[in-house]
Amino acid sequence: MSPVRRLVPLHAARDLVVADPLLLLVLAVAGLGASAVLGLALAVFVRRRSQSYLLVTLAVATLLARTVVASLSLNGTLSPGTHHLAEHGLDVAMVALVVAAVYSARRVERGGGVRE
Amino acid sequence: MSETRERILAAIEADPGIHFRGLARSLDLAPGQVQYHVRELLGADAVVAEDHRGRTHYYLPTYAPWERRAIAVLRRETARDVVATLLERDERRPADVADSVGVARSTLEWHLDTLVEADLVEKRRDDGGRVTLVLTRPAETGELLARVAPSLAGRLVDRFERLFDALVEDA
Repeated sequence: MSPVRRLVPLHAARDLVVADPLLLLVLAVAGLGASAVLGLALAVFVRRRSQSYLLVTLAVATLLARTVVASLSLNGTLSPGTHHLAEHGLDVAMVALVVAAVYSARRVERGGGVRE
Repeated sequence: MSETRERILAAIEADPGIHFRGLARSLDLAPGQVQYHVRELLGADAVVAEDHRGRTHYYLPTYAPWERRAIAVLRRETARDVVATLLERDERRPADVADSVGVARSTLEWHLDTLVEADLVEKRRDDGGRVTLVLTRPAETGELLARVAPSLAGRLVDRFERLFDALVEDA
């Protein structure tokens, strides 16, 4: 590493990461994919209006939030430490939301039964 | 009549029950343009609009109110599958229909609510309270089923619903 590199301010050094085209491509695909799945989940939630689908929709939203967090840390808004905490925090949120969605679907079904 | 308006009218004729965004997308027109021409067509009674679950669908006035409702419902893949199953056997128990369509009971019940509301399907109870599903107008329903097709986005939403309902039902 050249001595000149050390003189570059930290946020500028992070800006260099933005130039990685593969990472940008991955983020773009992840963002588009997550948005599409979130759109589907939202459409079904609007249709069914159940607690389960609300939770599933929120779980899918955490996927999109991961891409947002990654983008924010690429342009230097989030520090690497915050970035890691946010990403793994979102993992925890997603797992919790999926478990809650499955649990509440089961409970509603037992409580209400099938209408005939 | 302007060329754009004729194109809109032709699209509504070819795809009865098409909704506002579908029109703009399939004809590659700006929403404002579609809005203007559709308003003119509605004013001239050349087109009829019907709201169904938060969406405005457009039809030619030749369709009767029952047909318009039926078309809006039959644009859904799962509802179509349920109706197709009932057409084959005419009378069926809900559990059998859910089995042959391959959906969870919760999915079937939601679509049955819509089908019953649109007067496409009737729930008949025998003396023991057992339910059988009967098509109210089998011949007309079969004809309409052939005339409309679900959109790609619509199919995906239906399949997401099927998938999730099936997953939690087995959990």
